Amino acid sequence: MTDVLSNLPLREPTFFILLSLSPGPKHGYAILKEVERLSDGRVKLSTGTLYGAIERLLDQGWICRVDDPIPNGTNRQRKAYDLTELGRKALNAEIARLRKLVSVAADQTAEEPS
Amino acid sequence: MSIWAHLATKIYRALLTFYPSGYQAKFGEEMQDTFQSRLRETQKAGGEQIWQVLWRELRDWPGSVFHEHLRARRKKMSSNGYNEAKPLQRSELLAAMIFFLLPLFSILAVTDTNSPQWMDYMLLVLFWGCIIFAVGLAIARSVPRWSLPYLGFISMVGIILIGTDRFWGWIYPYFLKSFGLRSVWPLSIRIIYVGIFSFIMTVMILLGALMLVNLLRLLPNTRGVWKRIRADWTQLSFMLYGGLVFYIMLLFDEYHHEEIWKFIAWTCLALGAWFYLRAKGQLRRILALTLGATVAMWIVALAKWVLIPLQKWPTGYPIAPSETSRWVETGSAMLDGVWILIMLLAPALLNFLPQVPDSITSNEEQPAVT
Repeated sequence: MTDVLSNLPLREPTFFILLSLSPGPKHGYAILKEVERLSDGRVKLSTGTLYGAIERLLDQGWICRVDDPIPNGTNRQRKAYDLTELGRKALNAEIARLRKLVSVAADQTAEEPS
Repeated sequence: MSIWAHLATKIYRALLTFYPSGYQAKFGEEMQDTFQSRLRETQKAGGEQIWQVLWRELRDWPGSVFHEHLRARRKKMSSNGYNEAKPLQRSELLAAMIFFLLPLFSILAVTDTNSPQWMDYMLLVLFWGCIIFAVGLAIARSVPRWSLPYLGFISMVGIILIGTDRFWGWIYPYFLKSFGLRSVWPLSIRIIYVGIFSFIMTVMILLGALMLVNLLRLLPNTRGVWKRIRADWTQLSFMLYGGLVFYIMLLFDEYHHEEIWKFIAWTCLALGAWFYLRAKGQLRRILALTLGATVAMWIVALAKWVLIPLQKWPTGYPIAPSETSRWVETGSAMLDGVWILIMLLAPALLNFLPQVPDSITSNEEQPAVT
């Protein structure tokens, strides 16, 4: 857990990639689309950036490579990515951190005299 | 697929070839699939243009390629350390042994008085050329084991020269001036006096080496090497061991007919290095180094005992070829041997310290993901 906390705060694209994998495994293109959707089109990743982040997350043990459960119509088995226990911990820790930030900001702005 | 999409795919394929080979093998096909899926979707939706998709890839491509090469290099550096399971390559052993043969150039350059001056210079240039080439190769290949003595040699030269100039410089003149006074001191006090100076020098070398290693820790590109040294501190001992070749050269400064003795001392060092590289287990490795260095220093001490009466130093030279000088020089060489032993053992003892997570390396910065 110390290792996870030392990597916080997450960069926005990393956060969205982990968040996109939260419901279940996805292949590269599905992650790209989901990141766009979750960020309201603000974060548009190039494939180079996406796979760079994927490689780093694989090295950190936050995600793992699995066979894509959705067939792609070719003989080649497409690879998908799934959150590991450690990755889920990191995502939850980041969400908790963001919640706390928002809560502090909300309290602070609520107390401000109008 | 339109002709533009076809062209974009071709350009994208060309861009992929710039990534490290391991990365291409792992993600190349997937990246291509993802890019093509993006193009197909773009064409269907009709909103985003193909050139926009391609532009995004082109914009991020240089940074992405750079980061992947950097990451591949870091991984290589981290995995290049001592691996008990990995057998030592014969070429690696040879490269390390060549280092202990190189000083022969310096002997040839100064002993053959009949040879023309340019040949002496050429031999010295060849000697330094080989050392600098090996150091360059070592850096390019992530500092493999065989290169440690070469790096030690360069570091020792640097530490001693900088130390002499910056730190040693203010104290050494007093040391030289005290020669006359010392001639009336008891023999044991004279040996201890010289020994204290060489002890300061040894501590300075050790501190210099530790500072150098810690600098590796601070730079992201060399952090892998730091991790390897941390995993087995005898590697730092081996690096310092390489510096002993230069130290022995210095100990025979101004001596005549010392070539064969230097050669024997360097051969002892070479044997120690050979056993170090072949030995399994840290204890055996440090034993090989300490034995090699101790025997080499005994040879130096014996050489001084034998050589001093044969010396024809000019009048006014601080050491007269007398019986007392014989004892002082031999005793000092033996004492130097003890300091060297401590210098080699000190890093190895760090292996026994409990490994605590490193504040820098446990919080590796993340490459830019934008």
